[in-house]
Amino acid sequence: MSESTLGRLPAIVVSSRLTLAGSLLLGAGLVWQQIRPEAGAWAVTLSLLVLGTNLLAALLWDKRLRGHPALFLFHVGLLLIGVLAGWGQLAEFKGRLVLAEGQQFHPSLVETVEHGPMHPSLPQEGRFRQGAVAVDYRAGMHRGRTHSQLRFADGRDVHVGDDIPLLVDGYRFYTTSNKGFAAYLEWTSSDGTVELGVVHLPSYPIREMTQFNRWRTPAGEDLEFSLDLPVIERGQDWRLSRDVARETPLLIRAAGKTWQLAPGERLAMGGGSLCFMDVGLWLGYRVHHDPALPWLFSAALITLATLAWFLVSTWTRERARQASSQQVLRRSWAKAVGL
Amino acid sequence: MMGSEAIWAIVGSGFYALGTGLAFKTDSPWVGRMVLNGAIFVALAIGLRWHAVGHGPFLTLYEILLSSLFSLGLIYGIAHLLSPAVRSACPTVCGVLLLLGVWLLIAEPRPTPLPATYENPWLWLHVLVGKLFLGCSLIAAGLALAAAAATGEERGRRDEAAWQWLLAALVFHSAMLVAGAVWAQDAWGRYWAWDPLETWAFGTWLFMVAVLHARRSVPLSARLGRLLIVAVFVLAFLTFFGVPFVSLAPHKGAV
Repeated sequence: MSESTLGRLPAIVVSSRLTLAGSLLLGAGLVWQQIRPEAGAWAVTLSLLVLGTNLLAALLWDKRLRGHPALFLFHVGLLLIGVLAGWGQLAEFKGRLVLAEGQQFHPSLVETVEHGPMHPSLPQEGRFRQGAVAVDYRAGMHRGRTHSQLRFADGRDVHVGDDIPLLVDGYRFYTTSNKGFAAYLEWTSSDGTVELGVVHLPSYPIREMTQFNRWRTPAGEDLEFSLDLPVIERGQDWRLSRDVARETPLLIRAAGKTWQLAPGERLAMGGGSLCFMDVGLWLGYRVHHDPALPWLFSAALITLATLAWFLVSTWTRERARQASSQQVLRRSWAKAVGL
Repeated sequence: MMGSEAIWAIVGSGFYALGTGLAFKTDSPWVGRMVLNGAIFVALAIGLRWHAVGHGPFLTLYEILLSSLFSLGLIYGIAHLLSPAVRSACPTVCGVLLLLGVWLLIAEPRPTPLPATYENPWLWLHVLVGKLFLGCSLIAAGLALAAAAATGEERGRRDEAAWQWLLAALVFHSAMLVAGAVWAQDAWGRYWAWDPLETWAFGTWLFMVAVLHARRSVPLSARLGRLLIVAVFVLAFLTFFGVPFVSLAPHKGAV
Protein backbone atom coordinates (compact mmCIF):
# COMPACT_ATOMS: atom_id res chain seq x y z
CA MET A 1 0.00 0.00 0.00
CA SER A 2 1.50 3.36 -0.98
CA GLU A 3 2.14 6.07 1.57
CA SER A 4 -0.44 8.37 0.02
CA THR A 5 -3.10 5.65 0.22
CA LEU A 6 -2.18 5.04 3.86
CA GLY A 7 -2.41 8.75 4.54
CA ARG A 8 -5.84 8.89 2.96
CA LEU A 9 -7.08 5.80 4.83
CA PRO A 10 -8.84 7.69 7.67
CA ALA A 11 -10.64 9.85 5.12
CA ILE A 12 -11.69 6.74 3.17
CA VAL A 13 -12.93 4.97 6.30
CA VAL A 14 -14.94 8.02 7.33
CA SER A 15 -16.34 8.87 3.89
CA SER A 16 -19.98 8.43 3.05
CA ARG A 17 -18.81 6.97 -0.27
CA LEU A 18 -17.74 3.96 1.76
CA THR A 19 -21.23 3.92 3.29
CA LEU A 20 -22.60 3.83 -0.21
CA ALA A 21 -20.24 1.07 -1.26
CA GLY A 22 -20.97 -0.90 1.94
CA SER A 23 -24.73 -0.55 1.40
CA LEU A 24 -24.46 -1.76 -2.19
CA LEU A 25 -22.26 -4.67 -1.07
CA LEU A 26 -24.79 -5.55 1.63
CA GLY A 27 -27.62 -5.40 -0.91
CA ALA A 28 -25.68 -7.68 -3.25
CA GLY A 29 -24.88 -9.98 -0.32
CA LEU A 30 -28.57 -10.25 0.56
CA VAL A 31 -29.47 -11.20 -3.01
CA TRP A 32 -26.59 -13.70 -3.05
CA GLN A 33 -27.73 -15.09 0.30
CA GLN A 34 -31.16 -15.85 -1.17
CA ILE A 35 -29.49 -17.85 -3.96
CA ARG A 36 -26.55 -19.45 -2.08
CA PRO A 37 -27.13 -19.02 1.68
CA GLU A 38 -23.64 -19.93 2.97
CA ALA A 39 -21.61 -17.96 0.43
CA GLY A 40 -24.00 -15.01 0.71
CA ALA A 41 -23.68 -14.99 4.51
CA TRP A 42 -19.98 -14.16 4.12
CA ALA A 43 -20.76 -11.21 1.86
CA VAL A 44 -23.37 -9.98 4.35
CA THR A 45 -20.95 -10.32 7.28
CA LEU A 46 -18.16 -8.57 5.40
CA SER A 47 -20.39 -5.69 4.32
CA LEU A 48 -21.73 -5.32 7.89
CA LEU A 49 -18.14 -5.12 9.16
CA VAL A 50 -17.34 -2.45 6.55
CA LEU A 51 -20.48 -0.50 7.42
CA GLY A 52 -19.86 -0.84 11.17
CA THR A 53 -16.29 0.43 10.87
CA ASN A 54 -17.41 3.25 8.59
CA LEU A 55 -20.17 4.21 11.02
CA LEU A 56 -17.86 4.21 14.04
CA ALA A 57 -15.26 6.27 12.17
CA ALA A 58 -17.90 8.74 11.01
CA LEU A 59 -19.19 9.17 14.57
CA LEU A 60 -15.66 9.87 15.80
CA TRP A 61 -14.30 12.06 13.04
CA ASP A 62 -16.99 13.29 10.63
CA LYS A 63 -17.43 16.95 11.55
CA ARG A 64 -20.51 17.40 9.36
CA LEU A 65 -22.22 14.52 11.13
CA ARG A 66 -21.29 15.92 14.54
CA GLY A 67 -22.78 19.25 13.45
CA HIS A 68 -26.30 17.73 13.28
CA PRO A 69 -27.24 16.48 16.75
CA ALA A 70 -30.29 14.56 15.47
CA LEU A 71 -28.36 12.89 12.65
CA PHE A 72 -25.45 12.16 14.97
CA LEU A 73 -27.71 10.50 17.54
CA PHE A 74 -29.48 8.56 14.80
CA HIS A 75 -26.15 7.09 13.71
CA VAL A 76 -25.22 6.36 17.35
CA GLY A 77 -28.54 4.49 17.57
CA LEU A 78 -27.74 2.50 14.44
CA LEU A 79 -24.37 1.49 15.85
CA LEU A 80 -26.00 0.56 19.13
CA ILE A 81 -28.55 -1.61 17.32
CA GLY A 82 -25.72 -3.38 15.50
CA VAL A 83 -23.78 -3.99 18.71
CA LEU A 84 -26.87 -5.17 20.62
CA ALA A 85 -27.96 -7.48 17.79
CA GLY A 86 -24.44 -8.95 17.82
CA TRP A 87 -24.50 -9.42 21.59
CA GLY A 88 -27.95 -11.00 21.27
CA GLN A 89 -26.60 -13.54 18.76
CA LEU A 90 -23.74 -14.44 21.11
CA ALA A 91 -25.93 -14.85 24.19
CA GLU A 92 -29.00 -16.28 22.47
CA PHE A 93 -30.66 -19.56 23.31
CA LYS A 94 -33.19 -21.42 21.19
CA GLY A 95 -34.79 -24.60 22.36
CA ARG A 96 -37.96 -26.65 22.38
CA LEU A 97 -39.99 -28.32 25.04
CA VAL A 98 -43.03 -30.54 25.34
CA LEU A 99 -45.24 -30.51 28.41
CA ALA A 100 -48.31 -32.63 29.12
CA GLU A 101 -51.20 -31.30 31.16
CA GLY A 102 -50.31 -31.54 34.82
CA GLN A 103 -46.60 -32.01 34.13
CA GLN A 104 -44.06 -29.96 36.09
CA PHE A 105 -41.56 -27.96 34.04
CA HIS A 106 -37.94 -28.89 34.52
CA PRO A 107 -34.99 -27.40 32.58
CA SER A 108 -33.80 -30.90 31.69
CA LEU A 109 -36.91 -31.24 29.51
CA VAL A 110 -35.72 -28.44 27.22
CA GLU A 111 -34.01 -29.63 24.07
CA THR A 112 -31.40 -27.17 22.82
CA VAL A 113 -31.77 -26.17 19.17
CA GLU A 114 -28.90 -23.69 19.18
CA HIS A 115 -27.17 -21.34 21.58
CA GLY A 116 -24.53 -18.66 21.43
CA PRO A 117 -21.13 -19.05 23.12
CA MET A 118 -22.05 -16.46 25.75
CA HIS A 119 -25.29 -18.14 26.79
CA PRO A 120 -25.32 -19.18 30.47
CA SER A 121 -26.94 -22.46 31.42
CA LEU A 122 -30.71 -22.66 31.79
CA PRO A 123 -32.15 -21.72 35.18
CA GLN A 124 -32.29 -24.83 37.32
CA GLU A 125 -35.61 -24.23 38.94
CA GLY A 126 -38.87 -25.51 37.55
CA ARG A 127 -41.49 -23.29 39.03
CA PHE A 128 -44.56 -23.96 36.94
CA ARG A 129 -46.78 -26.81 35.88
CA GLN A 130 -48.74 -27.21 32.66
CA GLY A 131 -52.43 -26.53 33.20
CA ALA A 132 -55.33 -26.94 30.78
CA VAL A 133 -54.67 -26.66 27.06
CA ALA A 134 -57.25 -25.75 24.41
CA VAL A 135 -56.92 -24.87 20.74
CA ASP A 136 -59.70 -23.25 18.72
CA TYR A 137 -60.34 -24.47 15.20
CA ARG A 138 -62.45 -22.78 12.58
CA ALA A 139 -64.46 -24.63 9.95
CA GLY A 140 -62.17 -26.24 7.40
CA MET A 141 -59.62 -27.28 10.02
CA HIS A 142 -58.04 -23.84 10.27
CA ARG A 143 -56.18 -23.42 13.53
CA GLY A 144 -57.19 -20.42 15.62
CA ARG A 145 -55.94 -19.36 19.02
CA THR A 146 -54.07 -21.61 21.42
CA HIS A 147 -54.93 -21.27 25.12
CA SER A 148 -52.42 -22.63 27.56
CA GLN A 149 -52.74 -22.27 31.31
CA LEU A 150 -49.58 -22.46 33.38
CA ARG A 151 -49.77 -22.78 37.16
CA PHE A 152 -46.93 -21.46 39.31
CA ALA A 153 -45.87 -22.85 42.66
CA ASP A 154 -47.32 -19.78 44.43
CA GLY A 155 -50.78 -20.60 43.00
CA ARG A 156 -50.64 -17.93 40.31
CA ASP A 157 -52.10 -18.84 36.90
CA VAL A 158 -50.62 -17.44 33.69
CA HIS A 159 -52.37 -17.81 30.36
CA VAL A 160 -50.17 -17.90 27.29
CA GLY A 161 -50.96 -18.35 23.61
CA ASP A 162 -49.70 -17.97 20.07
CA ASP A 163 -48.42 -14.44 20.52
CA ILE A 164 -48.38 -14.17 24.30
CA PRO A 165 -45.24 -15.86 25.61
CA LEU A 166 -44.51 -16.85 29.19
CA LEU A 167 -41.58 -14.83 30.51
CA VAL A 168 -39.41 -16.53 33.14
CA ASP A 169 -35.97 -15.15 34.01
CA GLY A 170 -35.64 -13.61 30.55
CA TYR A 171 -36.68 -16.86 28.85
CA ARG A 172 -39.70 -16.71 26.57
CA PHE A 173 -41.88 -19.79 26.18
CA TYR A 174 -44.01 -19.67 23.05
CA THR A 175 -46.75 -22.18 22.32
CA THR A 176 -46.46 -23.91 18.95
CA SER A 177 -48.86 -25.68 16.62
CA ASN A 178 -47.37 -28.99 17.81
CA LYS A 179 -49.76 -30.69 20.22
CA GLY A 180 -51.57 -33.95 20.70
CA PHE A 181 -53.10 -36.41 23.12
CA ALA A 182 -51.32 -38.12 25.96
CA ALA A 183 -52.31 -41.26 27.88
CA TYR A 184 -51.62 -41.07 31.64
CA LEU A 185 -50.58 -44.45 32.98
CA GLU A 186 -49.78 -46.00 36.34
CA TRP A 187 -47.53 -49.05 36.42
CA THR A 188 -47.58 -51.21 39.53
CA SER A 189 -44.80 -53.78 39.70
CA SER A 190 -45.25 -57.19 41.30
CA ASP A 191 -43.28 -55.94 44.32
CA GLY A 192 -45.75 -53.07 44.76
CA THR A 193 -43.61 -50.26 43.30
CA VAL A 194 -45.79 -47.65 41.63
CA GLU A 195 -44.60 -45.54 38.72
CA LEU A 196 -46.51 -42.80 36.92
CA GLY A 197 -45.91 -41.98 33.28
CA VAL A 198 -47.31 -40.37 30.18
CA VAL A 199 -47.30 -41.77 26.65
CA HIS A 200 -47.50 -39.05 24.01
CA LEU A 201 -49.46 -39.86 20.88
CA PRO A 202 -48.47 -38.17 17.58
CA SER A 203 -49.35 -34.57 16.82
CA TYR A 204 -53.08 -34.02 16.44
CA PRO A 205 -55.04 -33.34 14.24
CA ILE A 206 -52.32 -33.24 11.58
CA ARG A 207 -51.61 -36.95 12.14
CA GLU A 208 -55.05 -38.02 13.26
CA MET A 209 -54.87 -41.24 11.21
CA THR A 210 -51.77 -42.53 13.00
CA GLN A 211 -52.62 -42.08 16.67
CA PHE A 212 -50.45 -44.77 18.17
CA ASN A 213 -47.17 -45.05 20.07
CA ARG A 214 -45.08 -47.73 21.76
CA TRP A 215 -43.79 -48.14 25.29
CA ARG A 216 -41.84 -50.86 27.07
CA THR A 217 -43.00 -51.73 30.56
CA PRO A 218 -40.41 -51.87 33.38
CA ALA A 219 -40.86 -55.65 33.14
CA GLY A 220 -39.63 -55.49 29.53
CA GLU A 221 -42.86 -56.07 27.61
CA ASP A 222 -43.43 -53.97 24.44
CA LEU A 223 -46.87 -52.39 24.25
CA GLU A 224 -48.51 -50.39 21.50
CA PHE A 225 -51.04 -47.77 22.55
CA SER A 226 -53.68 -46.09 20.42
CA LEU A 227 -56.74 -43.96 20.98
CA ASP A 228 -59.89 -44.52 19.00
CA LEU A 229 -60.73 -40.84 18.71
CA PRO A 230 -64.09 -39.51 17.49
CA VAL A 231 -64.20 -38.14 13.93
CA ILE A 232 -64.10 -34.34 13.88
CA GLU A 233 -66.72 -32.59 11.78
CA ARG A 234 -64.53 -30.47 9.51
CA GLY A 235 -67.29 -28.18 8.33
CA GLN A 236 -67.80 -26.46 11.67
CA ASP A 237 -65.85 -24.65 14.38
CA TRP A 238 -64.57 -26.83 17.21
CA ARG A 239 -62.20 -26.74 20.15
CA LEU A 240 -59.41 -29.22 20.79
CA SER A 241 -59.16 -30.03 24.48
CA ARG A 242 -58.89 -33.15 26.62
CA ASP A 243 -62.71 -33.31 26.52
CA VAL A 244 -62.54 -34.42 22.88
CA ALA A 245 -61.10 -37.73 24.08
CA ARG A 246 -62.86 -37.86 27.44
CA GLU A 247 -64.84 -41.06 26.73
CA THR A 248 -62.26 -42.55 24.40
CA PRO A 249 -60.94 -45.98 25.38
CA LEU A 250 -57.25 -46.77 25.23
CA LEU A 251 -56.36 -49.67 22.98
CA ILE A 252 -53.32 -51.70 24.02
CA ARG A 253 -51.74 -54.25 21.74
CA ALA A 254 -49.07 -56.76 22.73
CA ALA A 255 -48.09 -60.18 21.43
CA GLY A 256 -50.97 -60.28 18.94
CA LYS A 257 -53.62 -59.45 21.55
CA THR A 258 -55.68 -56.27 21.94
CA TRP A 259 -57.14 -54.88 25.15
CA GLN A 260 -59.49 -51.96 25.54
CA LEU A 261 -59.29 -49.92 28.73
CA ALA A 262 -61.61 -47.17 29.91
CA PRO A 263 -60.16 -44.50 32.22
CA GLY A 264 -59.55 -46.03 35.65
CA GLU A 265 -59.39 -49.62 34.39
CA ARG A 266 -56.38 -51.84 35.12
CA LEU A 267 -54.76 -54.57 33.06
CA ALA A 268 -52.70 -57.33 34.65
CA MET A 269 -49.65 -58.37 32.70
CA GLY A 270 -46.31 -60.05 33.22
CA GLY A 271 -44.31 -58.41 36.01
CA GLY A 272 -47.10 -56.09 37.18
CA SER A 273 -50.25 -54.26 36.16
CA LEU A 274 -51.01 -51.19 34.10
CA CYS A 275 -53.75 -48.73 34.96
CA PHE A 276 -55.05 -46.31 32.32
CA MET A 277 -55.73 -43.23 34.43
CA ASP A 278 -56.85 -40.55 32.00
CA VAL A 279 -56.32 -38.78 28.69
CA GLY A 280 -54.89 -35.28 28.46
CA LEU A 281 -53.11 -33.05 25.95
CA TRP A 282 -49.43 -32.37 25.47
CA LEU A 283 -48.24 -29.08 23.99
CA GLY A 284 -45.00 -28.11 22.31
CA TYR A 285 -43.21 -24.88 23.22
CA ARG A 286 -40.47 -22.88 21.59
CA VAL A 287 -38.04 -21.49 24.16
CA HIS A 288 -36.15 -18.34 23.33
CA HIS A 289 -33.70 -16.25 25.31
CA ASP A 290 -32.08 -13.07 24.04
CA PRO A 291 -30.85 -10.77 26.82
CA ALA A 292 -30.42 -7.92 24.31
CA LEU A 293 -34.12 -7.73 23.40
CA PRO A 294 -35.29 -4.94 25.78
CA TRP A 295 -32.14 -2.91 25.04
CA LEU A 296 -32.55 -3.48 21.33
CA PHE A 297 -36.13 -2.27 21.48
CA SER A 298 -35.11 0.86 23.42
CA ALA A 299 -32.25 1.57 20.99
CA ALA A 300 -34.62 1.16 18.03
CA LEU A 301 -37.10 3.61 19.57
CA ILE A 302 -34.37 6.19 20.23
CA THR A 303 -33.02 5.75 16.71
CA LEU A 304 -36.48 6.25 15.26
CA ALA A 305 -37.13 9.32 17.40
CA THR A 306 -33.84 10.94 16.35
CA LEU A 307 -34.55 10.22 12.67
CA ALA A 308 -37.96 11.86 13.06
CA TRP A 309 -36.25 14.78 14.83
CA PHE A 310 -33.87 15.13 11.88
CA LEU A 311 -36.78 15.07 9.42
CA VAL A 312 -38.66 17.79 11.33
CA SER A 313 -35.54 19.96 11.62
CA THR A 314 -34.88 19.55 7.87
CA TRP A 315 -38.46 20.54 7.05
CA THR A 316 -38.31 23.52 9.39
CA ARG A 317 -35.00 24.66 7.92
CA GLU A 318 -36.27 24.30 4.37
CA ARG A 319 -39.45 26.22 5.18
CA ALA A 320 -37.40 29.01 6.78
CA ARG A 321 -35.09 29.06 3.75
CA GLN A 322 -38.05 29.36 1.38
CA ALA A 323 -39.64 32.13 3.47
CA SER A 324 -36.35 34.03 3.58
CA SER A 325 -35.78 33.72 -0.19
CA GLN A 326 -39.33 34.99 -0.81
CA GLN A 327 -38.65 37.93 1.48
CA VAL A 328 -35.44 38.74 -0.42
CA LEU A 329 -37.36 38.50 -3.67
CA ARG A 330 -40.06 40.87 -2.39
CA ARG A 331 -37.40 43.36 -1.18
CA SER A 332 -35.59 43.31 -4.54
CA TRP A 333 -38.89 43.77 -6.34
CA ALA A 334 -39.82 46.70 -4.11
CA LYS A 335 -36.37 48.23 -4.70
CA ALA A 336 -36.70 47.75 -8.46
CA VAL A 337 -40.05 49.51 -8.64
CA GLY A 338 -38.80 52.26 -6.32
CA LEU A 339 -40.95 51.62 -3.27
CA MET B 1 -64.26 -9.31 -7.37
CA MET B 2 -66.97 -10.49 -5.03
CA GLY B 3 -69.77 -9.23 -2.82
CA SER B 4 -71.24 -5.79 -2.42
CA GLU B 5 -67.81 -4.36 -1.53
CA ALA B 6 -66.98 -4.60 -5.25
CA ILE B 7 -69.51 -1.89 -6.09
CA TRP B 8 -68.02 0.55 -3.59
CA ALA B 9 -64.45 -0.23 -4.62
CA ILE B 10 -65.41 0.48 -8.24
CA VAL B 11 -67.11 3.76 -7.23
CA GLY B 12 -63.97 4.70 -5.27
CA SER B 13 -61.75 3.89 -8.25
CA GLY B 14 -64.11 6.01 -10.38
CA PHE B 15 -63.36 9.01 -8.16
CA TYR B 16 -59.64 8.28 -8.50
CA ALA B 17 -60.17 8.26 -12.29
CA LEU B 18 -61.86 11.66 -12.04
CA GLY B 19 -58.91 12.89 -9.98
CA THR B 20 -56.53 11.60 -12.67
CA GLY B 21 -58.53 13.39 -15.36
CA LEU B 22 -58.43 16.67 -13.45
CA ALA B 23 -54.77 16.24 -12.49
CA PHE B 24 -53.47 16.99 -15.97
CA LYS B 25 -55.49 20.18 -16.31
CA THR B 26 -55.29 21.91 -12.96
CA ASP B 27 -53.66 21.73 -9.55
CA SER B 28 -56.87 22.85 -7.87
CA PRO B 29 -57.98 21.39 -4.53
CA TRP B 30 -60.70 19.53 -6.45
CA VAL B 31 -58.24 16.80 -7.31
CA GLY B 32 -57.62 16.24 -3.59
CA ARG B 33 -61.36 16.23 -2.94
CA MET B 34 -61.95 13.64 -5.66
CA VAL B 35 -59.18 11.44 -4.30
CA LEU B 36 -60.53 11.74 -0.76
CA ASN B 37 -64.03 10.83 -1.98
CA GLY B 38 -62.49 7.82 -3.66
CA ALA B 39 -60.80 6.84 -0.38
CA ILE B 40 -64.12 7.11 1.48
CA PHE B 41 -65.84 4.69 -0.91
CA VAL B 42 -62.91 2.27 -0.80
CA ALA B 43 -63.11 2.47 3.03
CA LEU B 44 -66.75 1.45 2.74
CA ALA B 45 -65.70 -1.52 0.58
CA ILE B 46 -63.11 -2.53 3.20
CA GLY B 47 -65.72 -2.24 5.97
CA LEU B 48 -68.15 -4.49 4.10
CA ARG B 49 -65.48 -7.11 3.41
CA TRP B 50 -64.28 -6.94 7.01
CA HIS B 51 -67.84 -7.60 8.19
CA ALA B 52 -68.22 -10.49 5.72
CA VAL B 53 -64.92 -12.31 6.33
CA GLY B 54 -64.38 -11.33 9.97
CA HIS B 55 -60.90 -9.83 9.70
CA GLY B 56 -59.10 -6.80 8.34
CA PRO B 57 -57.41 -6.55 4.94
CA PHE B 58 -54.04 -7.98 5.97
CA LEU B 59 -53.62 -11.24 4.11
CA THR B 60 -54.21 -11.77 0.42
CA LEU B 61 -53.05 -9.74 -2.56
CA TYR B 62 -56.67 -8.67 -3.07
CA GLU B 63 -56.87 -7.36 0.50
CA ILE B 64 -53.51 -5.61 0.27
CA LEU B 65 -54.59 -3.95 -2.98
CA LEU B 66 -57.84 -2.85 -1.36
CA SER B 67 -56.18 -1.45 1.76
CA SER B 68 -53.46 0.29 -0.28
CA LEU B 69 -56.07 1.80 -2.57
CA PHE B 70 -57.63 3.33 0.54
CA SER B 71 -54.48 4.36 2.39
CA LEU B 72 -52.65 5.86 -0.60
CA GLY B 73 -55.78 7.79 -1.59
CA LEU B 74 -56.26 9.07 1.95
CA ILE B 75 -52.61 10.08 2.43
CA TYR B 76 -52.35 11.82 -0.92
CA GLY B 77 -55.81 13.43 -0.66
CA ILE B 78 -54.92 15.01 2.69
CA ALA B 79 -51.45 16.07 1.49
CA HIS B 80 -52.95 17.57 -1.67
CA LEU B 81 -55.42 19.67 0.31
CA LEU B 82 -52.96 20.77 2.99
CA SER B 83 -49.81 21.34 0.97
CA PRO B 84 -49.95 22.93 -2.49
CA ALA B 85 -46.29 21.88 -2.92
CA VAL B 86 -47.30 18.24 -3.49
CA ARG B 87 -50.04 18.96 -6.03
CA SER B 88 -47.68 18.53 -8.95
CA ALA B 89 -47.28 14.86 -7.94
CA CYS B 90 -50.93 14.31 -8.77
CA PRO B 91 -50.66 12.69 -12.24
CA THR B 92 -48.29 10.00 -10.96
CA VAL B 93 -50.20 9.38 -7.71
CA CYS B 94 -53.60 9.20 -9.39
CA GLY B 95 -52.15 7.03 -12.15
CA VAL B 96 -50.85 4.54 -9.56
CA LEU B 97 -54.22 4.59 -7.74
CA LEU B 98 -55.99 3.87 -10.99
CA LEU B 99 -53.57 1.02 -11.74
CA LEU B 100 -54.28 -0.51 -8.31
CA GLY B 101 -58.03 -0.10 -8.92
CA VAL B 102 -57.82 -1.97 -12.24
CA TRP B 103 -55.59 -4.66 -10.69
CA LEU B 104 -58.14 -5.10 -7.90
CA LEU B 105 -60.81 -5.89 -10.50
CA ILE B 106 -58.88 -8.93 -11.72
CA ALA B 107 -57.35 -10.05 -8.40
CA GLU B 108 -58.59 -13.25 -6.69
CA PRO B 109 -60.95 -12.11 -3.90
CA ARG B 110 -61.26 -15.44 -2.08
CA PRO B 111 -60.56 -14.83 1.62
CA THR B 112 -58.19 -16.97 3.65
CA PRO B 113 -58.51 -17.47 7.41
CA LEU B 114 -56.54 -15.09 9.59
CA PRO B 115 -53.78 -16.97 11.45
CA ALA B 116 -53.79 -16.50 15.21
CA THR B 117 -50.38 -14.81 14.94
CA TYR B 118 -52.01 -11.95 13.01
CA GLU B 119 -54.28 -11.05 15.94
CA ASN B 120 -51.66 -8.82 17.51
CA PRO B 121 -51.76 -5.03 18.10
CA TRP B 122 -48.22 -4.62 16.75
CA LEU B 123 -49.49 -5.82 13.38
CA TRP B 124 -51.77 -2.77 13.26
CA LEU B 125 -48.90 -0.39 13.92
CA HIS B 126 -46.68 -2.26 11.45
CA VAL B 127 -49.33 -1.97 8.72
CA LEU B 128 -50.15 1.67 9.54
CA VAL B 129 -46.57 2.94 9.30
CA GLY B 130 -46.01 0.70 6.26
CA LYS B 131 -48.86 2.45 4.47
CA LEU B 132 -47.47 5.84 5.47
CA PHE B 133 -44.09 4.80 4.05
CA LEU B 134 -45.63 3.73 0.74
CA GLY B 135 -47.66 6.97 0.58
CA CYS B 136 -44.60 9.14 1.21
CA SER B 137 -42.45 7.30 -1.33
CA LEU B 138 -45.25 7.54 -3.92
CA ILE B 139 -45.48 11.30 -3.37
CA ALA B 140 -41.67 11.57 -3.58
CA ALA B 141 -41.69 9.66 -6.90
CA GLY B 142 -44.56 11.81 -8.17
CA LEU B 143 -42.68 14.99 -7.29
CA ALA B 144 -39.47 13.69 -8.91
CA LEU B 145 -41.33 12.97 -12.14
CA ALA B 146 -43.08 16.36 -11.92
CA ALA B 147 -39.68 18.03 -11.47
CA ALA B 148 -38.46 16.38 -14.67
CA ALA B 149 -41.37 17.98 -16.49
CA ALA B 150 -40.85 21.44 -14.92
CA THR B 151 -38.37 24.21 -15.67
CA GLY B 152 -36.51 26.93 -13.74
CA GLU B 153 -37.10 27.50 -10.05
CA GLU B 154 -40.18 25.29 -10.00
CA ARG B 155 -38.02 22.33 -10.98
CA GLY B 156 -35.65 23.01 -8.07
CA ARG B 157 -38.55 23.35 -5.63
CA ARG B 158 -40.06 20.05 -6.76
CA ASP B 159 -36.69 18.32 -6.56
CA GLU B 160 -36.16 19.55 -3.01
CA ALA B 161 -39.69 18.53 -1.99
CA ALA B 162 -39.14 15.05 -3.50
CA TRP B 163 -36.01 14.55 -1.33
CA GLN B 164 -37.93 15.72 1.76
CA TRP B 165 -40.73 13.20 1.13
CA LEU B 166 -38.13 10.48 0.58
CA LEU B 167 -36.67 11.29 4.00
CA ALA B 168 -40.17 11.07 5.51
CA ALA B 169 -40.54 7.69 3.76
CA LEU B 170 -37.32 6.54 5.43
CA VAL B 171 -38.70 7.49 8.87
CA PHE B 172 -41.90 5.50 8.33
CA HIS B 173 -40.07 2.58 6.75
CA SER B 174 -37.75 2.40 9.76
CA ALA B 175 -40.80 2.47 12.04
CA MET B 176 -42.35 -0.31 9.95
CA LEU B 177 -39.28 -2.49 10.44
CA VAL B 178 -39.25 -1.87 14.21
CA ALA B 179 -42.99 -2.56 14.66
CA GLY B 180 -42.71 -5.60 12.40
CA ALA B 181 -39.80 -6.94 14.43
CA VAL B 182 -41.75 -6.61 17.70
CA TRP B 183 -44.74 -8.34 16.11
CA ALA B 184 -42.53 -11.14 14.74
CA GLN B 185 -40.93 -11.65 18.17
CA ASP B 186 -44.35 -12.10 19.76
CA ALA B 187 -45.84 -14.07 16.91
CA TRP B 188 -43.03 -16.44 15.94
CA GLY B 189 -40.46 -16.13 18.71
CA ARG B 190 -37.88 -14.27 16.60
CA TYR B 191 -37.62 -10.64 15.60
CA TRP B 192 -35.91 -11.21 12.29
CA ALA B 193 -35.58 -14.29 10.10
CA TRP B 194 -34.91 -13.06 6.57
CA ASP B 195 -38.20 -14.36 5.21
CA PRO B 196 -38.79 -13.12 1.62
CA LEU B 197 -40.80 -10.09 2.67
CA GLU B 198 -38.37 -9.14 5.45
CA THR B 199 -35.48 -9.39 3.01
CA TRP B 200 -37.23 -7.28 0.40
CA ALA B 201 -38.29 -4.71 2.99
CA PHE B 202 -34.77 -4.45 4.36
CA GLY B 203 -33.45 -4.20 0.78
CA THR B 204 -35.79 -1.26 0.17
CA TRP B 205 -34.64 0.44 3.38
CA LEU B 206 -31.02 -0.12 2.44
CA PHE B 207 -31.57 1.24 -1.06
CA MET B 208 -33.24 4.34 0.39
CA VAL B 209 -30.30 4.87 2.75
CA ALA B 210 -27.87 4.40 -0.16
CA VAL B 211 -29.78 6.92 -2.29
CA LEU B 212 -29.82 9.49 0.53
CA HIS B 213 -26.08 8.98 1.12
CA ALA B 214 -25.38 9.14 -2.61
CA ARG B 215 -26.93 12.60 -2.74
CA ARG B 216 -24.33 13.73 -0.20
CA SER B 217 -21.31 11.74 -1.20
CA VAL B 218 -21.14 11.57 -4.98
CA PRO B 219 -21.76 14.21 -7.63
CA LEU B 220 -25.32 13.14 -8.30
CA SER B 221 -27.00 14.91 -11.21
CA ALA B 222 -30.54 16.12 -10.56
CA ARG B 223 -31.75 13.76 -13.28
CA LEU B 224 -30.09 10.71 -11.71
CA GLY B 225 -31.41 11.78 -8.30
CA ARG B 226 -34.96 11.81 -9.68
CA LEU B 227 -34.45 8.41 -11.25
CA LEU B 228 -33.22 6.98 -7.94
CA ILE B 229 -36.20 8.42 -6.07
CA VAL B 230 -38.56 6.79 -8.57
CA ALA B 231 -36.54 3.56 -8.25
CA VAL B 232 -37.16 3.57 -4.48
CA PHE B 233 -40.89 3.64 -5.11
CA VAL B 234 -40.62 0.90 -7.75
CA LEU B 235 -38.72 -1.29 -5.27
CA ALA B 236 -41.27 -0.52 -2.54
CA PHE B 237 -44.11 -1.32 -4.96
CA LEU B 238 -42.52 -4.68 -5.77
CA THR B 239 -42.07 -5.39 -2.06
CA PHE B 240 -45.68 -4.58 -1.22
CA PHE B 241 -47.36 -6.10 -4.26
CA GLY B 242 -44.76 -8.43 -5.74
CA VAL B 243 -44.09 -10.67 -2.75
CA PRO B 244 -47.79 -11.25 -1.94
CA PHE B 245 -48.29 -11.87 -5.67
CA VAL B 246 -45.97 -14.86 -5.65
CA SER B 247 -47.17 -16.21 -2.28
CA LEU B 248 -50.59 -16.40 -0.68
CA ALA B 249 -49.82 -14.26 2.37
CA PRO B 250 -47.26 -11.52 3.02
CA HIS B 251 -45.32 -13.50 5.62
CA LYS B 252 -46.23 -16.87 4.18
CA GLY B 253 -43.21 -18.73 5.47
CA ALA B 254 -43.98 -17.66 9.00
CA VAL B 255 -47.75 -18.19 9.15
